[in-house]
Amino acid sequence: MSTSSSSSKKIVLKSADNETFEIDEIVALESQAIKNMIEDECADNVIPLGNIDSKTLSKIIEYCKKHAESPKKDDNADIDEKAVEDLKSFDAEFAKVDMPLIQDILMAANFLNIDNLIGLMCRTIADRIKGKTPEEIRKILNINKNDLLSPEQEAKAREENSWAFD
Amino acid sequence: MKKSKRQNIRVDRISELPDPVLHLILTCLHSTKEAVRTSALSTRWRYLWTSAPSIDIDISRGSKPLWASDSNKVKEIVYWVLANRTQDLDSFTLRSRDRCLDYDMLTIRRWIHIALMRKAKQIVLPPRYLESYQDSLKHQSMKKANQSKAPINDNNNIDHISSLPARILHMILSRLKSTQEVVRTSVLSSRWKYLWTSSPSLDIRGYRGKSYLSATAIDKNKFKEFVHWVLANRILDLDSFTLDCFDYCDMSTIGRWIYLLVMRKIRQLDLKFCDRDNGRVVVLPCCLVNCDSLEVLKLDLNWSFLSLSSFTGSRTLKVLKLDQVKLLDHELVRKFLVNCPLLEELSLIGCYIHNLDYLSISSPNLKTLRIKNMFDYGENISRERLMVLCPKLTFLEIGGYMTNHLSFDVKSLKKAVIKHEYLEQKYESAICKLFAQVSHVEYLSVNYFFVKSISSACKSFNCAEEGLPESLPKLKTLELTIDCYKMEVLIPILRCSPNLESLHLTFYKDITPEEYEAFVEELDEVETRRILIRHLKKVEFLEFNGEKETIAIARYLLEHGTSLEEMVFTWCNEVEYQKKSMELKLCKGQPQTSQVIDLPSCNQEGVIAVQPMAILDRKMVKKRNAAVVYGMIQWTNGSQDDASWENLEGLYAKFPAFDSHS
Repeated sequence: MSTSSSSSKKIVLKSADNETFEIDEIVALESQAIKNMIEDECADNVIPLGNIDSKTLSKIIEYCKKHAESPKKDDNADIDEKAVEDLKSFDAEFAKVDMPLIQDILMAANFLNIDNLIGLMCRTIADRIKGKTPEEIRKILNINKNDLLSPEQEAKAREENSWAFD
Repeated sequence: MKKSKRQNIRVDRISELPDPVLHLILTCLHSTKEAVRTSALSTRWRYLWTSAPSIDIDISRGSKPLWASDSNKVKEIVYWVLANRTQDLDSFTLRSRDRCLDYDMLTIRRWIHIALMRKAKQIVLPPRYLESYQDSLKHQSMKKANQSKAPINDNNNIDHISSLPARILHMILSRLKSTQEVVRTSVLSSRWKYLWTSSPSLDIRGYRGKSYLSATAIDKNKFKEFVHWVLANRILDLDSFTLDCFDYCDMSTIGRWIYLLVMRKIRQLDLKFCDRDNGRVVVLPCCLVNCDSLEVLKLDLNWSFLSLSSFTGSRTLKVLKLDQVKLLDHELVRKFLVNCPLLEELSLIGCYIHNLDYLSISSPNLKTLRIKNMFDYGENISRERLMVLCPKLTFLEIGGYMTNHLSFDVKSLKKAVIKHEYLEQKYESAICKLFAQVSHVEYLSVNYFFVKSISSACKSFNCAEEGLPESLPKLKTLELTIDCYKMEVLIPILRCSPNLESLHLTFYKDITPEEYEAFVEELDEVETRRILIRHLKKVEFLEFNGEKETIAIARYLLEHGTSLEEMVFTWCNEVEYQKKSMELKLCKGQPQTSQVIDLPSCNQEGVIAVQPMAILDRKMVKKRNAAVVYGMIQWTNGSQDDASWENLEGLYAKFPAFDSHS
């Protein structure tokens, strides 16, 4: 895919399970966090990402590549309708993963500060919990069991906001 | 099987994400209703929705209503959601599938105002509302244009007030007391328009001059909306909140308001309400327990039951006043008091404690205690007991009905007010004991029933001093209500109060001449007179009505009390006062030229009475909300140096002759 950029600078990312990924700088710039590192000139060697595993990292790189390739709205006045559509369907396809991976991607995207991806993951999560009962949401999101409200507290919360639970 | 294993390993990583990311998820739900539902998920999610930056509410009541179709309920919800947001807002969206307008534009405009105040970047309205909103805006701007054509200032007055800083204007607003008045200032000018929303104290009363009972459902809903509107307008912290709403609102609404107040770090909370279902128990929300700002709590529940089961204490509470509250369980009350370590003032006025065996009040920092209770008479009549264990108590007021056993051990007490409403004979010894316990106070105020009990105890012991404490060594101020039959108690009390400086007397019934004579005879006794001569500086006659005997006693005291500096007569009622003040006006009209000196006149008993001789000076003094004219009176038995300030009206009443000569 990135045949054109053999001359461009490469960035090496290293996942938690010690797998390395070599990507074009333009792809890495999708992440605000890496962009800052490059600007601060501390991205010369391998960038270790100790809290992101290779499976998640490869997904994220896939996303960044696609988005880096597609034309940006601000630098092209006449937006390519097809490219937008293409990106939309890519996003929709990209989000068709199981909840644990979504969560991993969201965590990583938050860490790497990739705004679009955070937004996409949040929308995905929201879509999956929409119209569900708290019990179902707890299961879907795997809410921490130690953090649950006591029965009294939950009753209180339900009473306080009863209109949302009707 | 593999899947289930994975489920177990999975940890809750969503909840670890920072708030902005979770807010994004809530925003993506595109429905505040769904967002609020997450409050039941876990403690992490409990209050997350309240800070979500966008609000999106469906207010339609079409075929598939999202919630109950009652528009008042929906209104309350929108206010609740808006009021919960104290930070800035990104977007505010109202959705409605209805064809007709269910909500008045005023409400919609209020919501938009609240959203704009929270710096909302985007406001989305259903088309119909948008149209009429734009119309109303147009209307307003037209009005404005018309106004600006009119001459603005014809008398060239400069508005100094409006140029003052907001802090000072808030001080002005806080003096207005009622929030209704404060809100009225919003129409003064653009400077004042939103000033009230940041005023640090709110005082909202439901009645507005009308009776509570005549309030219609519309009035009540209007009132509710007003409170919601005021609270939603508050972004900053709130200092004090006063609410008087009778039965306008149910407990769930008030609980919500309390929650919003706690969120705004309320310091003083004064609530007066009662539940519509009289039998129901009021339970204060437990958010008050964890509230780190609450210092003063006043509750008037109009004899509803209050359960302290969820409000178990407070680390910050300093003043607690309960009026007309039925308390359910004295054990909970006791625990509550223990859990308020900083409590300095406690008032239980007209409270009724269910199944009271004993009430133990023990609080390490309590300085002021007022109890005026209606105890639950029933089977427990012989067992009830009041115990006070407060080492720092300085002021004690007891009233209402007497308890069978009252025990307290307070050496620090300085002031005591004992005013029981009714005392049966069996309490005589208890009262005497109580009197002995408070014998080291500097200030004592007792009523007729107390004096009566003491008097009859004295009689039954056949010795006037028996029922009294040996001495009241520190007593400086004494307030007494007595009647003609209890005059005899006054003398022994005076006799054992060697440092008494100020005496305030109220005569319950008129004194007979015989009583007066006996009184004077006893007063003539050397030791009693010594007290009067040495220390007594001020004598006040309260509820004065121009009675001859009272005047006679006053005369006697004036004659013999050489240290006397001040004598005050306070009229018992307005009518009498008005009558006398008319006379005062009449005599004022006459020129004050001659100063006729009469010979000392004798009263009925043949005692030479002191007469006022001349008014050397006059002054106006404010007393009980009325101006009272005092005159510097030179008396017939003294020189100009001995002249004293007297209430002129009282004086004219006492000495009609003087009246006509002045």
